[in-house]
Amino acid sequence: MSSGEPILEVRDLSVTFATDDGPLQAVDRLSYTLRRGQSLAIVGESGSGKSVSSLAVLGLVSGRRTTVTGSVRFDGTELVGAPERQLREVRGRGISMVFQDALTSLNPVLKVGHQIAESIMVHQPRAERDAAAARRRVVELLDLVGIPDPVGRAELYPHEFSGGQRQRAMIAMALANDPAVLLADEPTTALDVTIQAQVLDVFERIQQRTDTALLLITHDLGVVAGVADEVLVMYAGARVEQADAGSLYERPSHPYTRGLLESLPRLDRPRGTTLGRIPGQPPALTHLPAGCSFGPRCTAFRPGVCDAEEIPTVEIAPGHLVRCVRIDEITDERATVASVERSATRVIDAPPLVRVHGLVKEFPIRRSRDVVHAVTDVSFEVPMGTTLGLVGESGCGKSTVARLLLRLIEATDGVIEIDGMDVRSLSARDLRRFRGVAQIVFQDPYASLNPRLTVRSIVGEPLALAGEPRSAIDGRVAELLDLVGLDPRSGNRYPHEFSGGQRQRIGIARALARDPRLVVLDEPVSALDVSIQAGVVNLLTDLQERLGLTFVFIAHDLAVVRHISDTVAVMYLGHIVEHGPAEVLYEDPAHPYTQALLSANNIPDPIIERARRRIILEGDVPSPVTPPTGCVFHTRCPIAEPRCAIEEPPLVEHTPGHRVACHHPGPLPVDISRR
Amino acid sequence: MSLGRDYSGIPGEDRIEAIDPLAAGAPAEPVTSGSSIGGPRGPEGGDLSVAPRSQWFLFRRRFLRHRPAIVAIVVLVLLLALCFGAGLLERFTSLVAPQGQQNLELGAVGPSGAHWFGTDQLGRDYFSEMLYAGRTSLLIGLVVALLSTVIGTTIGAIAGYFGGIYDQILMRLTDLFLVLPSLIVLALALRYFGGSVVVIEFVLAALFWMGLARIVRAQVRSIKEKEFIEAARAGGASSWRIIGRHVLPNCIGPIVVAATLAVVQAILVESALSYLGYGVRPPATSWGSMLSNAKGYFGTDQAYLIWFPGLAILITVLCVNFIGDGLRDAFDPKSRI
Repeated sequence: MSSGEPILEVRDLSVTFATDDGPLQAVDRLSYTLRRGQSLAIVGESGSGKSVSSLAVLGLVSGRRTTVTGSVRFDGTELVGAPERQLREVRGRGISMVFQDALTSLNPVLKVGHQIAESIMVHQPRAERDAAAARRRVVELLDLVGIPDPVGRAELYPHEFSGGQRQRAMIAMALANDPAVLLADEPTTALDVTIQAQVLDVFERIQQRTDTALLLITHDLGVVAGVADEVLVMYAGARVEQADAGSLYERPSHPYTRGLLESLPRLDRPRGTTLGRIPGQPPALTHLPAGCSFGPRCTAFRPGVCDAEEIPTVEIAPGHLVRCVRIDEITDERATVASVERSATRVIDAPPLVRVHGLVKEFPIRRSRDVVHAVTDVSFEVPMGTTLGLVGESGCGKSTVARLLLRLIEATDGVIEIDGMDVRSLSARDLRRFRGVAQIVFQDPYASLNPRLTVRSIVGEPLALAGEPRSAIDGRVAELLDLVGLDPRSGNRYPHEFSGGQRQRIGIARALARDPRLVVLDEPVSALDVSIQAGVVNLLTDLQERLGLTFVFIAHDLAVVRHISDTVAVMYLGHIVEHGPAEVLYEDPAHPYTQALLSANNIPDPIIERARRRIILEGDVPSPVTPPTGCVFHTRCPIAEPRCAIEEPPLVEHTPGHRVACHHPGPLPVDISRR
Repeated sequence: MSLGRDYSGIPGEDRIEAIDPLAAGAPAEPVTSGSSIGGPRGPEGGDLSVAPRSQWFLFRRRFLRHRPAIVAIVVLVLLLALCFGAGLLERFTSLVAPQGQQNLELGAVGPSGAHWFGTDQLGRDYFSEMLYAGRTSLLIGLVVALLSTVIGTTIGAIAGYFGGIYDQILMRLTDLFLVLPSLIVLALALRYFGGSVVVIEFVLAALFWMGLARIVRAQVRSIKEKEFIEAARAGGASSWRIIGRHVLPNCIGPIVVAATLAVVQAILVESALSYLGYGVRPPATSWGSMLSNAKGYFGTDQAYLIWFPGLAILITVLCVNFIGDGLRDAFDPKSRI
């Protein structure tokens, strides 16, 4: 596929912003070539310059304090320094863009078909506009992006589309004028896995059916494995490695690429492997280290070699470029991985610390008699010292369960018993004691710490509330900071002085302040970069072993959950649909929803990824105000029967310790595969 | 990924190296004075190991680095000292004349060595009169701002945090106060209770809190959804503690701005009242009443009778404004000073 003629050639593209701290080099001499029909993925963590470089390609980075140098040639025309009018022409028809937050980009008061037709017609001279032709093209486009019944659907409004369909409609709009290049900036980042699978499917269809070149910008090496022909890895503004997808995943050569791949939790790896982690933080782009900018975090760092001079980019195999001066010496070292073996499977015969039975939570809706059925008849137990992974897409009620366990909200019905305490009927005095037994770590490391308080006040607050004397608090805070891998002297500093991963560690330190027995982790790593995420996950598993903690780990990422959990419960629309030991659930999922979730998750290996069959669930999760009758999943289930719409399947044991709520548990019939 | 989010933090990104969690079993280093420890240094060369310092210390340091605020405080304190020390100055120096001492033969003359700010049409020393009047104006401005801020913040915080029926009742009360024609209410209240300074202060405060209450309510409603509020509840904090420690400090910006505006408004509304004859009654004076007494001299040789009280109000307002700025920055740990 990479034999097409070059359509976009980027040579030595640099972007520098003048800041108060000196020049900020966001992109450093980036070069790549994109050919017709090819797909190139630019992968990097936040701050790596991947988005700035793509905006610079479109001429969208400008301003008095910005310098763009180098060359961007689109179809032979130079774009750097080109007049705005010419750039607009290219943006509309040559290169079109799909944004991350495309879900909000459709105008709610116009029909979807009308909006797509409009984007076709604005680029035509007024005299040549042909509404009928535009309408035909709209149907063609909706069909291309896999929207069923494109003729009828074009006449609907955005709110009548599902989330995934809206994202696909946005892609259709971007394709409206047959662009030579489709630039997608984190197109799946904000989406649930089943929706993400729908979108990735569209990209594959585009690749098969058109010769539009695809430029994918993402932080997720897993997402691109199945879609990209070629992958370019960026770090601190510069290209550190580039290769075709096969070689990059098979023989990652730059220590950073290796580190990234090692730190990625994978669905095909069992619990017990410690994630590789890249120590430290990305450098400040205003103060890049001399020589290799990855040097300070690299375990293969050799003083005098790596920090001496400009690092050359070498071609270690045809088309495989690596920017590392020690590449010949380190090829065989597994440099970045400090792997520690842990007991892979653990005996789960400890008595339960958490018992939940028949838990129900309904939220009333204002000025209405309806209620949101957030959690319906949920029962589970968590043995002491183990981790329960709670998985599901957004809106499935998993965060509500977290808040119910902590009694941050009141349950409607059911029993919650933690460490022998009946959580729902605690006296004020017992509630204070309970606050020391069960704690929570939140998702957003930016919103979960009060920006006005010092780290000492934040971490020490639960202690102060428990009446500890100030002198004891200071010592304990230093101890806690040390425990979570932070400088124990950083208590005087404010949250904004820390990076995302460090903030999450502060949140963990706060949760551990009173030596709890249960810690509920509500998506603790989903807001973090991959290399940082691994450090936090390792910290959590390590803390669990040392302190004998019991975890309820909530996440939408099945790979992370597999990595950390002993047992896993899958939630859908407020119900637990499958619950069992992690190994069993991941190896032999019995509920069709679990199977779809697992198949939608990406594995960072193009060979496995291309060979796998993906079950694509149509549509969205139904509204929890009016959940479907019978089995709540029947509206999206690939094997649903009439019976499923009437009779609700109970959660029963499928094999010992493995509970499933389905009328037809077991492997899916083979003919239900990807379309 | 958005451009702003990605780069905003980077220049100042801290550089403490995370200690390997597996090796973290070693006893924690005792927290000692940072000056004795060669702490890790960032790429900018700044010493990152800060000695344990109280939040109050950090607050004070940030405030003291705000030059305009410091100048404003000095000026305002000087102004307060002059006005409230006018009695003493009168008794022990010849700088200030007794209040209301007339010299009808002299009449209105411009500024001179003997009368720094000149004299008014009754031959009173205008500088002395300004000081006596300043007592009223400053008191009204500051007390009204303080009172209305306390009322507005309390009502807004309760309505925003507890929501539901409390929100309904308090916000309808706010609406009720907003639709009252304030000048008429003022005039009636002053006629009924008499025009003493204390009455004016309370009536003005009762009429100025609504805007702030609405702002605070909106702020509180957004802040209480943040996860750190839930974290505090999970830690066992009571609602009042959460409001005081976690919610209100994060609303300080708009509160300070509103308080500054209230000072200005109070001084100006008091002058309007004086003009209508409902403000402070003679022999008590205020900058507002002096301004309205002198309004006829605009464009004449005696225009200085307008300029001086006007300037005094302006300086007070500017001072309060700068102090407000300084406070807002001092409360914000992100301000890089």
